[in-house]
Amino acid sequence: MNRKVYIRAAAQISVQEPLCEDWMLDPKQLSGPFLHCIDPDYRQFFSPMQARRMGLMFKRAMVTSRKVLEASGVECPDAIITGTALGCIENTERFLDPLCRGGEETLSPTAFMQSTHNTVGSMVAIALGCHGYNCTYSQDGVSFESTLLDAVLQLECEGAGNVLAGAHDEITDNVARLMEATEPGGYPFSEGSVAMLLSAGESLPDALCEVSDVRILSRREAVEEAVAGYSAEYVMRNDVTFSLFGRCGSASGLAVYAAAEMIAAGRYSSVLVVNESGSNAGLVFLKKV
Amino acid sequence: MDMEELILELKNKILEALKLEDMTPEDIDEDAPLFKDGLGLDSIDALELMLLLEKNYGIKLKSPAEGKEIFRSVRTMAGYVAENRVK
Amino acid sequence: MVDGIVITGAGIVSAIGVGKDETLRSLLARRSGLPGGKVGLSDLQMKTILGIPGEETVARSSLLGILAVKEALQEAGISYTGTAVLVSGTTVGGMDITEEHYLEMLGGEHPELFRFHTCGSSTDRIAAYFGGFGSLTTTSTACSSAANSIIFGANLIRSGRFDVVVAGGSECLTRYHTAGFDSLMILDKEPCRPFDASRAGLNLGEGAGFIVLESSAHASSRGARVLGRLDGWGNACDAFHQTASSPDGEGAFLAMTKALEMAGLRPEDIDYINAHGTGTVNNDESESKAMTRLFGGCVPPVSSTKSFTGHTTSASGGIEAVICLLAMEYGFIPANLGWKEPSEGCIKPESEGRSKVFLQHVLCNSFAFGGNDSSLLISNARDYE
Repeated sequence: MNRKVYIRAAAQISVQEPLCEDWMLDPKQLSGPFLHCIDPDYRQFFSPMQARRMGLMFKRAMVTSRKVLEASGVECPDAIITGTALGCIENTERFLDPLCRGGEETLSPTAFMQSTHNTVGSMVAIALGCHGYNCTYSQDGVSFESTLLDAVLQLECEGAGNVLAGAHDEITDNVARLMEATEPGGYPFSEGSVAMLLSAGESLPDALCEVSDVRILSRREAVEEAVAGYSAEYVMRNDVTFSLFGRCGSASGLAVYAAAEMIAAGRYSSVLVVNESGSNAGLVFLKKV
Repeated sequence: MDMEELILELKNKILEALKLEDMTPEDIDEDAPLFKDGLGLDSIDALELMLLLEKNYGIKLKSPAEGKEIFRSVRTMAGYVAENRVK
Repeated sequence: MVDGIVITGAGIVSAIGVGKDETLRSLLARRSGLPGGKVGLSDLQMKTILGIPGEETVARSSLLGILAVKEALQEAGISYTGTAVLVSGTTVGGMDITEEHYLEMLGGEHPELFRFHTCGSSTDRIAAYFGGFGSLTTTSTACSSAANSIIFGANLIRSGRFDVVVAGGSECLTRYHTAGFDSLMILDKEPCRPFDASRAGLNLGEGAGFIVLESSAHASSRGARVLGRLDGWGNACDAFHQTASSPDGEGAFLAMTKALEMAGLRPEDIDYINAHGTGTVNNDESESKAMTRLFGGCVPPVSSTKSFTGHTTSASGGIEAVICLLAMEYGFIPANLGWKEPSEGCIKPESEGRSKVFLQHVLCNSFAFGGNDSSLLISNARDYE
């Protein structure tokens, strides 16, 4: 049996025009110290009762997730896997700031409950009523590669048919300043959400592309040798990724989305997304179906 | 402060504490249940309401169980606040 | 696909001891680390033990993790980690550093300390101590993080991608999550009493637990001593509420059921369950319900070793997996300290523990906020004679 893994649908809310691929024709030039996403009007997606407690990152995650599920005709995936570098940093700050200022008596339980990294993945599961496999990865710049690798493993080893994989990160004023201090210079910091629906099968002609390989290398000196081992028509590196989406934890997820759409549009037959933003490196090799 | 004023104040504070940003005080019926069938609040909201009482009225409840009767509706909450507030 | 995943090394640090030997002695002597839950070594003491310069900034979660990974690698007889994978579970990451310096950082003083904040950076630091791993990542599913690290690691081996994975989790106590659990009103100031009628919440603890996973073929080719087999696992989502567990224990039930199915075992084959058993009213009732649904009237012996270690959150799945390995190797069931009175809707745990038993198969449960529920099925390396 020759089961391959495919990306069937992908959707993003980022610093580019959201929930569409039109931005690819004329990508926005990024400038400034940091950028927020271009958000759609979420009132069309959620009632006030649903929207309560939902920070922007959850809304983005829900909207992108629903879009790929609808596009693939999947109601409830067999697994939901999420990557996030900083997690729910806005809620973290909402709890941390008063804590550090000595306000232990009046800390919000909601902010704490929603500051754990698995909040997004589990909220999506609760919203979909999905009891399947559910996991969250938080490995800085390669959180998405970790997610994608687990998705492939679920499809290969655990018999999953459909996996919802996502990468979601948000930024605040404070965090942008702190990030600038840890990684000075370069493209603006940003935020972004991307969701993908992956399926395994012998052939899926309608899919965007095939996921041929996913690797995380924690020894950076091994990267170029590994890159040379793939015969990719196009190698997409961080400078391209960051110029399109800014610097954020979900940037490599957005890069894989863009690469998948370019392959689906017939621009390339294969793309290797090389991500060397932190101390680890991610390699994702995509091929046309 | 009369009861009607207190009810309106509580409604506004509830909207703020529970982040019901797109709702107005008129959307909350002061006699309808806050939990389950009414507004559909849950156990974490109960903790937020306890925090609200402490912050605004100096009322400290010991456990969520104690709040069960108090938080039945906005009106029962207002009654409890009027009797027990220390600020 | 590779079949047969074995465990060839284990390392543990918690409030009841640094290393397997001390942990075993505490478990057998029923010596609890509660209600403090703190590991008895300062950051500086750990740095001294590990040969890390005292002035270097290192997250406490990393230090605890290094101690446990070191013990696990030593037991497995692995000195080169360049082709192995490290999978660590954490939620706190470097929050101990962030919360100490947050206001200073915002004021422009040493903002670069923020690089220690992330979960990923704490795993990077663990890996760096050993000269780096070939690949690594971090799971962060709150209190089931370590269990999910072990599941992901096992699948990396099963798929044939790697032969050796070191998996587990590490978490230090912070003001942040202590205040967080307090705001949820689920902390008990007295030592926790899992499954007891008077239980009133959990005690937080800290520590790390890691195991070395290997394909059975790889372990036998290098003549490694096998401590146990990872025969099954299950990960399911309760999909009920962000913090509360469902009344029917659906997520827990599905996780345990999947683990049994994968191992090809029946409920009656399980000799012991190391429960998630946090001591909160909600968890213990929901978990009991899940056990009764799966095992009917014959629930195997159950205990929660959180009555010794406290709830070590992201590390708990690793710590408790190592405790299960100790229980299998030395033939005992750890006590469930603090249990006195049956609670309606709860199973009756092994309050006194048992000695001189043979444990062939055990389940180790880890559940989390958001309903991220996982169960590991670990089998004894020996067969009953």
